[in-house]
Amino acid sequence: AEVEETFKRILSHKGVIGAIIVSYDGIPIRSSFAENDVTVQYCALIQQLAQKAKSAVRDLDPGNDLTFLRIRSKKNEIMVAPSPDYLLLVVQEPNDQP
Amino acid sequence: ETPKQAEPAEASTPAPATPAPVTTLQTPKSARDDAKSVASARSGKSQPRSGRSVGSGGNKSQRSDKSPKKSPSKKKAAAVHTPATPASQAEPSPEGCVPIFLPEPTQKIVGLAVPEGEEPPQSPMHFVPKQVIMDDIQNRAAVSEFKEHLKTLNEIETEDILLVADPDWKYGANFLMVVTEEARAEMLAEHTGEEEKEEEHVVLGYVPPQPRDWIPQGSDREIREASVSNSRPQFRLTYQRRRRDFGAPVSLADRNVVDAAPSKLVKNQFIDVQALEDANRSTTDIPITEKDQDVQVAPSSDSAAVQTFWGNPKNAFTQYEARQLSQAEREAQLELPELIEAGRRTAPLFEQSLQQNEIMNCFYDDYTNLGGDGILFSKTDNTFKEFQTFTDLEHSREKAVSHIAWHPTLKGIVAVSTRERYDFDGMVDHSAKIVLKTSVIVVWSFADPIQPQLFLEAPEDVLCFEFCPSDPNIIVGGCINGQIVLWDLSQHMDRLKSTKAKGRSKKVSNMLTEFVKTDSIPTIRYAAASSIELGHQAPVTDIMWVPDHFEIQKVTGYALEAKELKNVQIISCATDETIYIWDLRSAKSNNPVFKREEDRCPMGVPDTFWHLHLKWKPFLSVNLFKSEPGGNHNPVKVSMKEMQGDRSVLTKEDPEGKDPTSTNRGDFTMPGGPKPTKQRMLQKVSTFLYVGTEDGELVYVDWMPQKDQDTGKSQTPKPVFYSTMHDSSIKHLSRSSFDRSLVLCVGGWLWTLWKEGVNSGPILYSQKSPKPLTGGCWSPTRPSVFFITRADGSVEVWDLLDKTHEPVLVQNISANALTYCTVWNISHKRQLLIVGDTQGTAHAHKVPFTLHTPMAGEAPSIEAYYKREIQRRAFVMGRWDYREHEKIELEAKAKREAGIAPAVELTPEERLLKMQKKYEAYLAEEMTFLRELGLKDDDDEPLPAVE
Repeated sequence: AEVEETFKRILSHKGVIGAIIVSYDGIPIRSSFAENDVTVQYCALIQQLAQKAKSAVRDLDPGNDLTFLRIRSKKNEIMVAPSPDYLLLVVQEPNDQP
Repeated sequence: ETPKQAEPAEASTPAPATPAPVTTLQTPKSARDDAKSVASARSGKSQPRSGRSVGSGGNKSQRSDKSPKKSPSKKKAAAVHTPATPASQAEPSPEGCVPIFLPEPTQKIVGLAVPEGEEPPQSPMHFVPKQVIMDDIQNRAAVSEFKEHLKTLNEIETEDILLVADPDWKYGANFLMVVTEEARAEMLAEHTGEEEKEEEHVVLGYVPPQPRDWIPQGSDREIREASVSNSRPQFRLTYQRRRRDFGAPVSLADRNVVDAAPSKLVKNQFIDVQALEDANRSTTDIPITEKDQDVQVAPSSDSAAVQTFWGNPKNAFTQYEARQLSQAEREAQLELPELIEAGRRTAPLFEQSLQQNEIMNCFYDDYTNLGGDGILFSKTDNTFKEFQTFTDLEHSREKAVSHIAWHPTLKGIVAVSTRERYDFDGMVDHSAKIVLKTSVIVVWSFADPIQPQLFLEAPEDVLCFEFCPSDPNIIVGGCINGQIVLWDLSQHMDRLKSTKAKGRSKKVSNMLTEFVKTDSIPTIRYAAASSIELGHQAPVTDIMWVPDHFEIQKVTGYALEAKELKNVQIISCATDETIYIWDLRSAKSNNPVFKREEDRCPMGVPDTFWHLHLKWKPFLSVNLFKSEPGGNHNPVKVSMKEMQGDRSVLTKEDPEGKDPTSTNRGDFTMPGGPKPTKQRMLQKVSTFLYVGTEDGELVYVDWMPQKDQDTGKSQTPKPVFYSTMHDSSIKHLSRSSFDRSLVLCVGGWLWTLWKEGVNSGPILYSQKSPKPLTGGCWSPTRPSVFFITRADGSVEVWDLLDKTHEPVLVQNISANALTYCTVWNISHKRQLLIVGDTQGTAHAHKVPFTLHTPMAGEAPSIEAYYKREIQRRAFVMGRWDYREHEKIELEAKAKREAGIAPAVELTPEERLLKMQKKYEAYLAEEMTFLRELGLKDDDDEPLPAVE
């Protein structure tokens, strides 16, 4: 319930297209995307990317760890927060004009 | 026996010194022995121990006399023949030994005889068992040689008796019998040592081969032939010089034999070496005597086998499915404390990022919105750069370029038409000369600036031509004699395409081949020409294809939707006061194409349009009646609003209109073609034409004919307006590709810019140029830029956003007057301006970067500018009206003031009229006054007017 609340709060932000909670194996647990293929694609691709990023950070400094990943693209921004067992993923579209 | 004799001689290398085989011994053993003896004789050494060898040399003749049976072994022979001499010298036998003579039979009995074919034992020691000897004494009794020694034999305790051979009869017998133990041990010790020594001697006894006399067998002759020897004693020369001459200074100079003094001394200082010439022997006469040749044999065939594993082919695939959790699992997961914790921890991070993005757009790219003007402007890149020049010495020299057109699809192909430079009188004067000249359109490729690609033959000089946009193989042109001419290039399209490729490859190949190449340039005859009687009667000055998305209906002139989307109609204008509209699908052409033999089209001309040849006539004519009497307008240029490729009218007309995509080249020979069942009327198509006239007028006219009230005939209505801004013939009339309602008109000494719908006058016009303007064109990429050519060979570039009072660039391009210009956008990086001059040369120039790259926000700014100009125009009109009124009022006022003594007395009628007007005004005022007071109703009868 608490998770659900947090999830809803994030979704209520301006420009947010969707959010997904992914298990660390890349299996979607909770997704706001209507299409299942989109969810699956986001999960599979972003989970791999996050793991790669995490290993990169750890390789650079074994005492360090990845906390947050922001991917800015031409159309939107993908934010990823990895935690030991889960991955939270939010896609936001920017405002049209500054 | 001969072969036997030869055998040993062969076995041992034949020794010349030794007399040929002498032995007659037959057994292999003796033969071998003999060989041995021969060898020892040859080496010149005798074996000191073997008595037979010593005497062998002398005994030979004797031995050869003997029968072979008699001497089976050497030992026997030695024993038989040698006893006499050494017997007298017999030494006393050593102690403990008894000399004993054992004849051959005895030797056999005791086993001492060597069986035939066996080597005699090396050691002289023979152990004979005592029992054997005892038996011999017993058997043979007195005959036995051992009998006398019976007593000593009995004393011997050993099992066997040692008999030592004494071949030299040293002790008086051929054997020595050892009787005592001591002697036996001594003898054994002595003989074993001797034996060892003898073995050593045998090893060392190998003597190296001794030099022998050499028998010549022919090789000496070869060596002699190969060696070089002096045939004569060698010369010996001594050069001498005086001591004082050494190191003395010398002076060297060239001297000729002829010039030299004839003294003998000088003459002798020359050595004349003549080249040796042997006429009999030339190098080719020398026969080849030796030749190196190799032959190698290789197997001609080879057999090999390979075996592979054959797997049964099978279709197989693997498909993965993304793992999904069931609804229950999901819900269970959502309640897990880890997830709650993770959400709690990461939520603030998300909120922070999300809010950041909400506050500021991080995707805003400053670079794309950066103004492009001014920054990239460099001094070096603001002039036209010459790119290529095309001129054909045969066809275009001394003629003026009348039109230049780019091929619509093939890049780098440009067609140039030329015309004689004479005016009408000049044409008449030189008609004889002109008739002889062929008139052509020259097609050039940028890949080959020297040789044209094609010639398009025309009946007369071509003043204007256009490629058909939907089928670039078709070109329509207007001739100076009023004919409209069609060409079909489809047979030569490959040439244009291939020359493009060829030219590209040629750039890397040798430049020379370009000039060497002399394949003839094909001349394409026109496929059809219009009827002379029914067409234009004066030079065709402008021609254009009707855009493919509509067609003009016959008689009515309505714009109908064209379903086939191909260009089949042409608008042409000529100085015979008419604009004609033509259709390629001539309805009058339903007679068979090849009706008569003389109608058959000439060789090599495609029959695409032959049905039109000399029969083609326009289906609609647009007349340009002047508002006032005095003839009609004489058009030279024409422009319509609809643009090829802009099909927005179709969709505007019909919201659910289908996508106009199908474009196919129709069959022009079919009269009318496959007629669409029902064609929509396109109401949105503007049927108005801007027409530039020979007298410098710009006429705005509707091509759609209307019924004339007076005659009832259907004909073109009078022009909406016309203006006479230009002081001489219009040279160019075109619409901007960005805003089709903007018309650029060039003629005389100025250009004007018109906006469709603003009829009061141009929204912009230039000041009078110092030189007459001869042509112009819009920039295809920048809405605010256009190019104007001048009669002094310069090109003006106008950028309305930069300056409106003067061109931004004036650049001289040719020494001759320019006649035509057009711009082609090759890529977004390159734009070419091509101008023609009165010498028949087409100059291609690169347009500077700043003049073809649109600035950021250029289109909206220029639109705003035009809007302002239109408003200004409206304001000017308003002011003009106002001023007009003011002027009239002022005049009236002045008149009134001067009314005391008016220059002109008013006639009674005029005075009456004036009074009537005054009265009417009074009535109107009274009326309004009463109405305001509510005393008067609208439907009341007005007061009777005073007649």
